[in-house]
Amino acid sequence: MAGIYIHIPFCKSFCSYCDFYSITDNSLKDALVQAVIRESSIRPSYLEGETVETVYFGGGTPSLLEPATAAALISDLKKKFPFSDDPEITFEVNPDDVYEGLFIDLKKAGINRISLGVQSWDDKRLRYLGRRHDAAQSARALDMVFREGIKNVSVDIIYGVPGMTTADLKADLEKTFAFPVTHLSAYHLTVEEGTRFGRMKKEGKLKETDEETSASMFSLLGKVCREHGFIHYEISNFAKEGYISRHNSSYWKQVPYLGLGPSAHSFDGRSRQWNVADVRKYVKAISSGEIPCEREELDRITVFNEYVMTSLRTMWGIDLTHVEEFYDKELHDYLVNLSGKYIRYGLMKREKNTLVLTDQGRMISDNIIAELLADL
Amino acid sequence: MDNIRNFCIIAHIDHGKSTLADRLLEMTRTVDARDFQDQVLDNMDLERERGITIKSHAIQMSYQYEGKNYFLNLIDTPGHVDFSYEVSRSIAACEGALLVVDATQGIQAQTISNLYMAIEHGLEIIPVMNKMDSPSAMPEEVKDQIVDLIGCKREEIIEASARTGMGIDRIMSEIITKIPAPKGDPDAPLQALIFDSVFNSFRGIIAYFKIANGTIRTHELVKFVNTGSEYDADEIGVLKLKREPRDVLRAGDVGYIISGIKVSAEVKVGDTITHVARPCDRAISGFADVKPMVFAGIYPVDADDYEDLRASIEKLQLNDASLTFVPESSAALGFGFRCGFLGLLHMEIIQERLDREFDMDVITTVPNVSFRVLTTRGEIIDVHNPSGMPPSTTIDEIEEPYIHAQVISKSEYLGSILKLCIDKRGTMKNQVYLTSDRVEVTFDMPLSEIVFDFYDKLKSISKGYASFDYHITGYKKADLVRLDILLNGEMVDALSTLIYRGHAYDFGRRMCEKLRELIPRQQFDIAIQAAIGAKIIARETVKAVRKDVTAKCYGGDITRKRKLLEKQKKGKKRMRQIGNVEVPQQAFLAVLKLD
Ligand SMILES: Nc1nc2c(ncn2[C@@H]2O[C@H](COP(=O)(O)OP(=O)(O)OP(=O)(O)O)[C@@H](O)[C@H]2O)c(=O)[nH]1
Ligand code: SF4
Ligand SMILES: [Mg+2]
Repeated sequence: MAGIYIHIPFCKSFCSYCDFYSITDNSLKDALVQAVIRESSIRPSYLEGETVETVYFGGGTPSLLEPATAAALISDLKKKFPFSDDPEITFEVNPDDVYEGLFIDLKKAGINRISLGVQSWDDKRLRYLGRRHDAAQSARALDMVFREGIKNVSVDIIYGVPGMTTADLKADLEKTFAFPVTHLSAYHLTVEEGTRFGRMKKEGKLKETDEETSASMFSLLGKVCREHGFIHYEISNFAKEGYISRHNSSYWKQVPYLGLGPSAHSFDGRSRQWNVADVRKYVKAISSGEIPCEREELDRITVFNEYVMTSLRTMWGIDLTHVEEFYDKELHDYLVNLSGKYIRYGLMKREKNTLVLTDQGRMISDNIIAELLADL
Repeated sequence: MDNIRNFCIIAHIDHGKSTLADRLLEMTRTVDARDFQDQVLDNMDLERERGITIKSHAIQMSYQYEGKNYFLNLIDTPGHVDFSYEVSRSIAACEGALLVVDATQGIQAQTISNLYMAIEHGLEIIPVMNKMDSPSAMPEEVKDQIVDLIGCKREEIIEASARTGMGIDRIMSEIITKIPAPKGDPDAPLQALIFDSVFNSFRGIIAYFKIANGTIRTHELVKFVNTGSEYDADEIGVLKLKREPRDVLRAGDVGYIISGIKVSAEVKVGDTITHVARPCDRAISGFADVKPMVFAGIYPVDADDYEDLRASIEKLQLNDASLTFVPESSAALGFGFRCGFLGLLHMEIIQERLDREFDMDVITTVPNVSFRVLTTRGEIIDVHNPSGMPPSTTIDEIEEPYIHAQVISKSEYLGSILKLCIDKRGTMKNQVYLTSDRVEVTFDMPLSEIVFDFYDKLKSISKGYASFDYHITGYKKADLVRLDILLNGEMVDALSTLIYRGHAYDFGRRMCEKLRELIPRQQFDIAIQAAIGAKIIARETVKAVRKDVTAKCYGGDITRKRKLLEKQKKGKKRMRQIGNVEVPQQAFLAVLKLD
């Protein structure tokens, strides 16, 4: 089992909160696509022959690619890597890139899951976030994607934006659920350095949402999603039964993945590596047959810590049997001992042989995970 | 022997002793230009960072005077009251002292106390008025003060500037002409006084001594009189900026000895070195044991480091004879040591040195003075720890140490100083105008009142002009209560204090407020309470963390996120778990940071 991620590092403009790597000059688009194809030829055995179950086009803005280009990339990958019979192939789309027939073409290319960057249904907030679309375009895009026959559709929402209330969040969620979406990724705003919001914060022009409000938004989010029949399967991810994102889940289950494109990360179970976050450097290195990346070897404890960190964020939690079999009895006992306290505080539950955070625990998951990390 | 001069430099804090030493070292070319830096003798990092001398420092200079070569052993001493024990030991190795007085400040409290120590030991005093280059120097006024204090002639006071070099020539010649050469018989049986020692991780223990009588050669068999142990003198020598080995040292010389001693208990400052073959009749009278008056628990942050902590404190004690320690245990902190200090600065320095020189991360508990309990059965018990108090039913009376406190200040601050001292339970004993605008007041005061924030307060109300000195006078009956701190209902013994009843409420309230600031929010609410017996007198709450969660955690974020969480974990590790509450190191000293 394995996944492939392709990073399309182009955006028409930058959003105020975003620290993903992208550039606005898309004259290098063709060169980039060629380089991605070349990169996969240089690294055919990175996944060690594992069957590819998922492909994810992320960005940046994949919807700046022609569907034909997406089709070419997918069929190229299928030639180079063994694919399962029903791979999940996701494509991120910005609402203002949508036109009649787009989804028909994407579907033909093999894409069967769309992730739509709605972010908010409030035009004022969309402008504050620096998005280039409005709510009407999101509605139109959602109408179209279902009409054109893609059933598995995820929507991205941002909450905890300065000035936003719980009522605003409720409204955003209700508007989203008015469409038959199958998946929701709802992220609390994180103000990152190097973004416009980051600069505003430094200058004292942005006041982050207070903890109390954030906490009540988080509870409300869980509640509304549950009422609409969504499973809260990861801190920020919700899905209808059968539509849990297989690609994202593989990140949390330590499934190997190959990341293609500038700034893309790869993981093979023992090490992580990430390509240079620079289109020109990337294209240049690839054209001379080199992978421009940095690499980190992970020792056993680090792999364990990453497992604790990612799995506790999910509804599956920590599988103690797995810990004992894959790591050792000592780490197993370590977790069992420490978990007692969280269970007493109502932050964690022990279900059969798993440790899972409660809703309350999820809200302070960083605090708990930091304590659970084992020493090197 | 008549070409040797042993002298120390004494003064109030910051009057320029170490800078003056720089000039003397420069003039005698004792330190290479390339090794030179300001206050070159202050070689501990801590001394350089804080700009104060903590340890006495001995160094030998040689100097040609009227065609004759002299060996001058200089000891630079610290000025802060907590380190006066260092001064007293240095004085024992000298025949003379430069008494430095800052021309901009005049006589201050430690000028007087250090001078008296020197006079008591019969040292020849050379008065030096330093900082003459400063525009705010008041030479005539300060000369009046000096004449008044030591009864010298006006002309005997050397006008100097350690900054410009003014007066340094005259200081050199007076060191030679006025200070007597050491007496003693180089042919008599060996008698050398150990006045300091240091631990060196390669060479073991290095003892510094001054020879009163006799002669010592390398590889002779020597004996430490008080401990009775015998050693081979592997290396002897004199103290330059680095150690310089010599084959022979004679009566009057100041030097060092390395004899392969590894165990700190074997070297006692104040002991006498003699020959095994031809011992002296009796030991030189050493030093009165200093009695530490401020006590606090020192515990390893990581309980596994207990034995390492013991070894580190032992080594530190070698270099700091005034530090005492006995093992103790605390319900909250496990095993540690009750350490005795000369004052709060001393305590702070010890904690820092443990960290820097021995890499020991420690928790220091709330300090207290040493109390004396008279029991109903007529016993007298010294109590160094609030939890060491006997049950109240067996206590007849508690006594606390009192000091004689002396404050010298510009008279315009007199009002606020009196108020402060009276708030601190002082009774005024005397008030003398030294000049028309300088006044000296003396108080009887409980020592416990100056342990916490007296010194800082005094400095701030007098804009830095007041100086302060004290000595212990004895014990007096005290009306004390034990104030406990509870975290989520659990008493934390390391935070208990014995305190004057009249201050307890206010103190308890401020303690709770400070702890609320210092204890980070955790996964649950934390109740902080101050109690006297069963009665809660103050309460604060640290609210639980409501939200601490990263929104995204996908491919690329995993490494970054993991590193952030590892950092968060490190922060938590430096805390002590008490009951279910994590308490950071500095919270145990909250009491010292009350506003
Ligand atoms: N203007 C002036 N400043 C001086 C002179 N001598 C020393 N100082 C300054 O006074 C301050 C204290 O000097 P130190 O030599 O460290 O004083 P100290 O007496 O050794 O201090 P402690 O050892 O901590 O008691 C430093 O900032 C020196 O630069 C002087 O002759 N003139
Ligand atoms: S959020 Fe998406 S569209 Fe906006 S800058 Fe980031 S990658 Fe580009
Ligand atoms: Mg000094």
